[in-house]
Amino acid sequence: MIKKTKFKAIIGFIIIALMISSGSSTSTIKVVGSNTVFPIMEAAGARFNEMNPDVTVSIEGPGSGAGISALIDGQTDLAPMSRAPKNAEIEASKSKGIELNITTIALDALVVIVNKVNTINDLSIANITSIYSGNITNWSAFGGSGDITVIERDENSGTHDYFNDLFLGGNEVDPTAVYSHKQEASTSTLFKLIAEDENAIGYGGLAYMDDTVKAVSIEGVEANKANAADGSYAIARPLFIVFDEKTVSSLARELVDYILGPEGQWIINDVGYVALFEMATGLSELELGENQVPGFEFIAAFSSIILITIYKRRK
Amino acid sequence: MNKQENLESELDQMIEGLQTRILKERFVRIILSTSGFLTIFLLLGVGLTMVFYGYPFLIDIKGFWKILSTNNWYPADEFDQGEYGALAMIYGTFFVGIPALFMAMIFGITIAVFISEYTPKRIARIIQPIVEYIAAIPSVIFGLIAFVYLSQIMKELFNQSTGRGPLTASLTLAIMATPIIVSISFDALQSTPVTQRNAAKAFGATRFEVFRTVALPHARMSISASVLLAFSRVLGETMVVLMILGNSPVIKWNFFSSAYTLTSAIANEIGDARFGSAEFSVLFVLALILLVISFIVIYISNLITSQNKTFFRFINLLLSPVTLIYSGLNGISQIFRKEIVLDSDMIVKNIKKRVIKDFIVQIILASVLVFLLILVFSLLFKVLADGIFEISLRFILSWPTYSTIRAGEYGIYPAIIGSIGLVFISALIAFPIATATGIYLSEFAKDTRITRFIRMAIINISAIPSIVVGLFVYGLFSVYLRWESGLLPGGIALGIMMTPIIASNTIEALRNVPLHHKHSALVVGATNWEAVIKHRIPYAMPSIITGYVLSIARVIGETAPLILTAAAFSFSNSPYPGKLIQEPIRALPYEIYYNLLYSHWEGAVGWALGTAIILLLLVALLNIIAYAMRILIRRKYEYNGNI
Repeated sequence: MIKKTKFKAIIGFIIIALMISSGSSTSTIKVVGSNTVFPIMEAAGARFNEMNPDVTVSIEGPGSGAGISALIDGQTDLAPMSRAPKNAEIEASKSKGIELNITTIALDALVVIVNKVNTINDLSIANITSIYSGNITNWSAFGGSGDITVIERDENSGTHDYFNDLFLGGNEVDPTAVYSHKQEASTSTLFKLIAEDENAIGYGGLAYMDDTVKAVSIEGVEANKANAADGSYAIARPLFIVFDEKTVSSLARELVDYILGPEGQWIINDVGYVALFEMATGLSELELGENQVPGFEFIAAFSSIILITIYKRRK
Repeated sequence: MNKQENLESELDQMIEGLQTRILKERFVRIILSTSGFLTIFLLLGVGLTMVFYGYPFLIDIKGFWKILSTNNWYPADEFDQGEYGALAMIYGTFFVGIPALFMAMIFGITIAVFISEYTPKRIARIIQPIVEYIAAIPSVIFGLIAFVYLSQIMKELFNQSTGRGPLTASLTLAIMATPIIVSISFDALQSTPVTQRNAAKAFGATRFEVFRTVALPHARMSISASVLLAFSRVLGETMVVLMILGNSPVIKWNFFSSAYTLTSAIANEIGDARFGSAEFSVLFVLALILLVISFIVIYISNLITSQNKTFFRFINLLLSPVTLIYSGLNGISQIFRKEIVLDSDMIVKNIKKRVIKDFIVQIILASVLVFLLILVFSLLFKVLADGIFEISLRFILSWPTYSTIRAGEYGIYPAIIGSIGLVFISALIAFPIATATGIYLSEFAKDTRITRFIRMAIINISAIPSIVVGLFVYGLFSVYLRWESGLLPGGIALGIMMTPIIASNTIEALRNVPLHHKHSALVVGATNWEAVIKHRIPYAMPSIITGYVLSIARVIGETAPLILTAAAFSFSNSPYPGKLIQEPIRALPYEIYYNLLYSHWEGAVGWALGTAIILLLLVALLNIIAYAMRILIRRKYEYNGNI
């Protein structure tokens, strides 16, 4: 009886071993990076895999900081980012012999959101600064009521860094100064918390916006794609994909090209960000990182306008 | 003459055979002891890896003291740029852990007392596996329940703006830790000698008085030890606190605000910590602190079970909170009432009052059990009710497709394959090593200092928090050896978690087999190994295999190590990973966590619930198999008497 069990166990192991080893050897593109860019990468990755069945695209979206760290440590092929790499990161990559290629792929309007029952509709930049620095801890200062729960993204996040640079002069939120403070690992969870908590305020990428929460207008300008594209919305920012120019695989580069191409740009539009062709007019006003060369994007953008119209009509 | 020669040649053959047999015996002994030593190396390896990576902080005593004593957490790449005060994380760990422990103590001890003292054996045998099943539910599913349902209930119940906070986390952790206390305390209460029980009954003691005068004094040590074991489980828990607490490094006395624990800090911040940066180091220091706390808790628990006298003198001197825990239920009840003294007048003394009291205690104990079971199973039922419609053949047997953005269909086939692969690899690593260690300790090792050290190593490995196991594998294999994430590093992490379960189970299984067969074999000249392989292991095999099944049930739901070492969200035309390393895989528990991270998106929570049901069913199935095997074994022993 015991011999039988042993025999069966061995057979079972062999079957499982065969199942695992029978997997065709595929090539993998690893993408680790921004949570804001994640919806783009998810959709583009799925389509890319459909077109190239031999290629496995694995995507993680813990945050831009995690992405660039993984890139410098050689743990990923592509690092989507929602902020430009910091000087320290550029230096660290140089010291490891990595030549960063920073490609702009889209434009995002950073939305500041509150619960739907909140009566506040508009905040100035100074107001947001005073909320996040803890100078104002109650909604009554703006005509509402309730102690403010300040929710931010965690330190992995490029959105977190971008927001702090913009509103807090590069400082971090002091968790003891505000009434209640939370850090969330993903923008999606942050939106869910705000939809539940009447007194909460938070921020995130435009693609995550829906009708369960309310986006406040900044300095009287509503957060939407059009205002972001023409530059009137104050807190719009470019989204990047960063990779190592020297060691990047041709497949990974193909994925970047696909995202810059007509179909990729159509996906970006569909996800909820501003595609490159739409931002053509507003691009000059954006602060771009030093290492960027916007020339290629313009060519891609204009050619994609034509292609997209054809593509959409065919559908 | 001819006969003589024959005999001599036979003797020569026997001696030759004996030599090979002795060689074999030595060879086996070396192999078995090597795997025993491997567990020591593993424990040392985990500790040394933490020390090695945390070295920059550990050599600088001022810097290390700053981590322990200040509360400014702004980690940076360079040592002089950031601030690394982790007091809030240490505070948060205990701020969530201690209320959880007290709740678990109340739940656990009352339930154990109720099913041991107040219910007939037949019913206890039904309730016990139900409570044990709660222990088998993966922590990520508790995280899901707390995230989706419990936080909403708490929000309504306490009329707060949000239910996501320390109190919800504590309650969830308490539910998770309760079964540990129940099963150990129950066994301890049951092991009270029947003669003593009968003596108390003969005096006319009620069930409560039997418990107070006989069972509790007998089981007190084990109950305290079980409480401490539960505490180490609570302190090392990652997924629930990561999802619920709000991850804010503040020191606040508010049960509905936010907090940060050591475990969630490690899980949350390892992502952007670059190899060699200060942030990377400080996270390993946090892990080391967590490791030391867990080891202290386990060490105290061991001292209690081994009834070390100097230790108790020391503890009584300190009169620390530990004493309070150690007194357990006894201490609390002693505040209100005097010691019960059994005497011959017992039968007639205050009979009405005592019977009523017994009845009231029974009602209270039963209501705690009923409350816990209703709470847990109504929440599980809610998961089932909301998630069951997600499940179809397509859900199980295909993988996610996205025709347009997120408007796709979801499938968990790659995740199932990934989980099977992980279990397979971890089994390949853990089964031989852990079984060999168990056999070595039970059959070969003498009671020397080294073997005691191996035993201690096994207990300590089981106390290592899962996130620290993940961090160890991440630091050593993923980063240092550049294996990145994939099946092999993930399998190693899960294998480490399996090892102590299997080893201690193997020892237990061998202990339950009568020794006389082995002794008979030894008498007729068998070597130790021959006796063991022929007359010990075959009889212990069913129990050992039960241990395998249980260990698989335990690790199949582990999530925290996978976040660091194995899993990611990936698109592939084949669910089978092509490589063992450097290719992230999908896995069932990670899929739940992943979907909760994107919970705001339509369908994501439903997918998480659907995946959770599949995982729950898998775990239930594995547990039922183990339970059935246990019953069959028990029957075999009961009916045949001796084997």
